[in-house]
Amino acid sequence: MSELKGYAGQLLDVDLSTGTINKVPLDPQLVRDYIGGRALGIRLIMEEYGDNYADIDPLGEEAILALMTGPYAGFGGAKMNAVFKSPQNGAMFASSVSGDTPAALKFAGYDGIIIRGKAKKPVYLYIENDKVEIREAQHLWGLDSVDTHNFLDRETPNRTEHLYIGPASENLVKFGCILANWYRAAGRGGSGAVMGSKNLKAISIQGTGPAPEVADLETLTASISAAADAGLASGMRNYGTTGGVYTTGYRSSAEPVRNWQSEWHNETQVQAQFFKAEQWIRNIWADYGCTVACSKLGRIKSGQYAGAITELPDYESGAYLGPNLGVYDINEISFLADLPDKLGFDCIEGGNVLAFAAELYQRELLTAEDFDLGKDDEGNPIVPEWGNAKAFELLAHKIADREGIGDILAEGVYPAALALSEQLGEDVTKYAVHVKGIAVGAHGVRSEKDGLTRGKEVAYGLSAHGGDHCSTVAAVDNWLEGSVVYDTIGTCLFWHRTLSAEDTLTWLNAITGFGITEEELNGEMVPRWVTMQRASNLLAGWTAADDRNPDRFYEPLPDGPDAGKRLDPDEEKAKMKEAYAFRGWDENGIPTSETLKKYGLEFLDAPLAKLRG
Amino acid sequence: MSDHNEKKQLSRRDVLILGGGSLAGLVLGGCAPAPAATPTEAPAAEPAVEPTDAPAAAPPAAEPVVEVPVNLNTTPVAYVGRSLEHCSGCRLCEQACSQYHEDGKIWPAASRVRVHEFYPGIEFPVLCYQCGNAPCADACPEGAISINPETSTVVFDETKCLRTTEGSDCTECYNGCPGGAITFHPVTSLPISCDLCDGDPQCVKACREKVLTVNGIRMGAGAPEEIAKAMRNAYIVPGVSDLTGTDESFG
Repeated sequence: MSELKGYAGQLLDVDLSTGTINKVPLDPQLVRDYIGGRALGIRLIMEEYGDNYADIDPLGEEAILALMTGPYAGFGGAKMNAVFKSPQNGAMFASSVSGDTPAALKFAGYDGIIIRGKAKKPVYLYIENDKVEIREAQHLWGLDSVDTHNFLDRETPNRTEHLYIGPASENLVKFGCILANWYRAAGRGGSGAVMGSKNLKAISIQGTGPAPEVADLETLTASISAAADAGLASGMRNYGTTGGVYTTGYRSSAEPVRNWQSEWHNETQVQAQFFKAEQWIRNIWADYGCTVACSKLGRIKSGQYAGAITELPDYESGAYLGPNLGVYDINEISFLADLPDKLGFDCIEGGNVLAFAAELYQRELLTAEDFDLGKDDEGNPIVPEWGNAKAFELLAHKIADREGIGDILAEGVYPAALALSEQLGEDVTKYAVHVKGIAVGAHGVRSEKDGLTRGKEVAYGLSAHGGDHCSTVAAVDNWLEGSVVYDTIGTCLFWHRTLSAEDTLTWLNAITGFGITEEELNGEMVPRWVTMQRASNLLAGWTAADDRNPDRFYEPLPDGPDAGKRLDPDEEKAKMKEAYAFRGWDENGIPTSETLKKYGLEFLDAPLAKLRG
Repeated sequence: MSDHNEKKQLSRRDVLILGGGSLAGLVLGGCAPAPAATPTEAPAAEPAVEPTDAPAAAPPAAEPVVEVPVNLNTTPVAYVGRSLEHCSGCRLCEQACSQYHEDGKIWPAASRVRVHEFYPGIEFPVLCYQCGNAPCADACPEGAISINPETSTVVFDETKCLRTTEGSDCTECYNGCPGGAITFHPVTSLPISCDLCDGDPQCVKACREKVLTVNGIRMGAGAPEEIAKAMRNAYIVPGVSDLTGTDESFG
């Protein structure tokens, strides 16, 4: 039906306010320019918001949530993107989530879902190929994310895949996330809060159709097979990313330790092999089509959390809910790292804001009464001292329930810092480790030893995703932002690390027949996508002054082999100017009219002209 | 065809014991009511590793044992074997199967092998294991199912199948298969099951985890739900943990 190869050729467009369900064909030229996933989703939403961008309330009825697959979905790719105006920082966000859902959506006959409006009461969307229903979800409301998945499994046919939110997103915790397959999450930016604001608890997808016709089946089949072989050699297969909980601290001095007061530790008991030996009961767990299988299922056997079933932890959650909270007991780390998934909020922003609160306690700016976490067995108040897992467990629940101080922390680390600064009469924003309102990933820049942040000064500051470590910029003369390409084509960074860029493009072209070259991708397409997303940051009110690192990164590292290393703000400003020039943005970091024209983004010229003054 | 009502006592020889993996003492129900495999006689599932507080050097996991009862009246010419412990859930087998049978299309719903996931992380393939008893054939009210004596695969006579009749939703063959190995094609709605790909099973080639093998480990004939439950039980500590938060949510 569609002239597009490898695409279902249509989007499902659902208005929850009116109950209207439409199937909208994709514009082939727009797809050629924006491919899918992150880039296409942002383009569709930004174009619709147009001049009103700044006025759109991310949690309002007028907000749009797009769930976009890319061409890879069904053909080996296991990622899709939640695309939305972030309730955390107002910029356009695309947060990828893996699992079997992207393939299911394509087999059901859609490349993406556009959600509009707001349901009057809790609902979930059930998609079975052509049949689409808005179903009542009162019975699911309030369930943690794991139970939500299990209940949905019970009331849908076998092999139905689900996207859903936990209680945190129902309570509009700003960094609530959309989850899938129990432990997968579209973690960053607050996708779940957007879904919660629409009273949409879940989307269940049963797709029984074949994948669409492709451009070159033979090459595609060979690509999938070769990638499956290559995936077996991935370093992620044995230990996932758990190894980083020790090595990123000890070897790289780039791990958050006690709210980034340090980035180094030598706590050998958190090495990956101990998680494996002590906890893991399933060592190879993969998403659709993947042989990297970086996920591992664990069970805690001893300590205060004995009996809990957990995942890995992966590096981000392990670092942020472990060393960053001063917790070095692997059982406590695994339990805490699992908690954000259950409650349904971003483990990075969550771990960051917990540590931020703990630092305020350390500095005696907040007291035990402020936290109100109850008393332990001996009648002493439970306080968020570094390493007190119980306190952080209780505080995480307070955030999800927006109870007491949790209500402030639920806004995210930067808004919480602003509110507490006012309340305390002292500036505490310097303890909030964020960029443009987004907590930075568990990858420091000061030591220059972390591969994801080798752009050091510009890595986070230039990124359209603020503190997102998956969208960092490698150098001033490089357009690429982390996994922007993988997010757009709908596949996984870890898998494609085992392949060459050429392999990835061969695969993409076999699906689509687009004949995209590396030159076109890096010289034209990525700049188009990145510039577009940059505009959303500017329209959200962020300026060149916000193209910077967190305050903490200008302080010297206190310990470890890289002690003394810090960022120089002047050098950073100079590099930023250089990067603007390379990208065709003016000295204030605003894309010029010529640049917008060059990349086919004329629709952004009028809104940006107002900012140019 | 063998008479599946004539149940023979499961001898020791019929119980294949295999090591490796992370499951201990997992015993699956056999094809139909095989005595040795009834739950009352099955040893209780125990965790592979006793709780320990030692931070380093965890005791080596006891060599796990998975007993898979096989209830055969005939020896199949060939079969696809399945080990339960190592399936990652990547579903490459489904892709390969559908590509072979559906003119190159990637179409998991039309695959003869289906990967089930009832609990997080516990995924395993389900496909016909050429049981030889052919309870599916006996269950068919129209005699539309026979066993190819040369390949021991199930053969469907589509001209006889009730599902070709408009409005019919007969599922007797599916109900009759103790392993849940028959599925219905999403478009034709006719029953489909493993035909060994004319002697060159594509799922085996696709399986990078070596879960599926030609003439490898004979799979048990438990219903998928039962297999999943047995695997799950091997992971949990009774009275302490569940695979997830709320046991009721599994029904």
